[in-house]
Amino acid sequence: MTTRFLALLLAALVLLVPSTAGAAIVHAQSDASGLGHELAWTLDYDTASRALTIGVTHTRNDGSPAASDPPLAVLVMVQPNGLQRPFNLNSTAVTLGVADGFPDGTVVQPLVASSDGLPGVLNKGPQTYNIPGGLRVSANRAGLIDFRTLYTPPGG
Amino acid sequence: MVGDLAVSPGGVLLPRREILRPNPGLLLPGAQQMLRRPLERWKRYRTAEDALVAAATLDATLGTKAQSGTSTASLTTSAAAAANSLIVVGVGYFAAGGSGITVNVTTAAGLTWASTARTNSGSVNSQLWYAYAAAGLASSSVITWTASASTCDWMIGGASFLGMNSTPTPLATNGAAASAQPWSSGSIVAGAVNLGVVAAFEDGSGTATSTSTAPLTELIDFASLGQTEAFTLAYDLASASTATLAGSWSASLSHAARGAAFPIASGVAAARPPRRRSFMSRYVPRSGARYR
Repeated sequence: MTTRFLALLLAALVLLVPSTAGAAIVHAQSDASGLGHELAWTLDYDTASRALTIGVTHTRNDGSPAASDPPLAVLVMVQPNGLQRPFNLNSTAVTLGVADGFPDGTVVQPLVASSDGLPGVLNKGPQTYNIPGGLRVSANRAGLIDFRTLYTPPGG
Repeated sequence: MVGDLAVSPGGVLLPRREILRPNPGLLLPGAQQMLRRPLERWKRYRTAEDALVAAATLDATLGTKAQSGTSTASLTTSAAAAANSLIVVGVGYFAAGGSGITVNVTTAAGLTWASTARTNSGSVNSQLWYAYAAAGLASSSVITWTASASTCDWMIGGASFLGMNSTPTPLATNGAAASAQPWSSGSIVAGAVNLGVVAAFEDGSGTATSTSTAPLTELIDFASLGQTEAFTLAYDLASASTATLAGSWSASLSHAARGAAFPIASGVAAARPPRRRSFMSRYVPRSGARYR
């Protein structure tokens, strides 16, 4: 009787505890450099909460402040279905498409970081965003996020 | 054209050589200048650029290494690198322990190594390591990389190049990751003609092959069946000041690519072609000065 009770209690506890099976933080990072400047970024995507945390630094190669913001700095995330989600690192505007539930094809909207409620991501430390529709990662054992970086350094 | 004669732009039948290389005596003085000066300028810059490109050459392919499930991996060079060569090694690794794992050179073979940032997505990483070998590097030299933790699958390949700047800090770098057949460094804005080198590493197929997109020349393309991974290294000796180094896998695969633009020795700036001006602007006096 006691054993059966404990088994039932254990089963109830298992059901009560939120399942995190399959949830993961998928990480990506890269940099682009040129003309004495460097744009380095890291990205963490929480597949459970769908929160996207991005940290971007833009400096001269020696780490001193950049001459100016880059004329072009875009992190293009590419979904497994081929949909591209360009994330403008200057304006934090993201381009969304039909697959994201936007009937008019593509919309652009600036994202505001949930961490500080402000736009902008360059040299601000990690900023967390909730991208409408979330972000799909590649279904493979590496949990790969498809991306490429478009970067034109100051003076380029 | 009749035999060695040809029709000049003015409609006069002249010896062909006089049209290709006009006899100043046949032209008005102003026309002589108009023909000669832009031609001389073009030849001067053309010569500088050709010399620059000719100075950079592939020295040797230094071999490959594939290794599974270890925290270290060593490349034993299969050829010697000449003195005053730039050695570039691509390191692709699958870090089963997570995306935060980094690698470093722990056996340097007497060289001072530096690296680009790594391009990482998930467990897939690609990175370029480079060193200037003033005294060269003997065949069978051992270079070892050690991971920060856990175990990795490794695929490594390198080459050496001559005519490169002895301070090989890349002019520019970029990288990209994708689950697709095409692989690419992304656009690299170097600002000068350079040696472009790119390494791409995929996880998912042990039989995949890569085809580099022109003008890249493929140096290394090998796969490891047991690791279900493949690696490629390619270069362009005269990569444009803004270029994308790219290729394609034989199948759609998860991969990361890393590219860099290395400075060619001396005169990099001189190799930049002159800024093109309109035809008329050459003959409009500026600041009271005549066209020179």
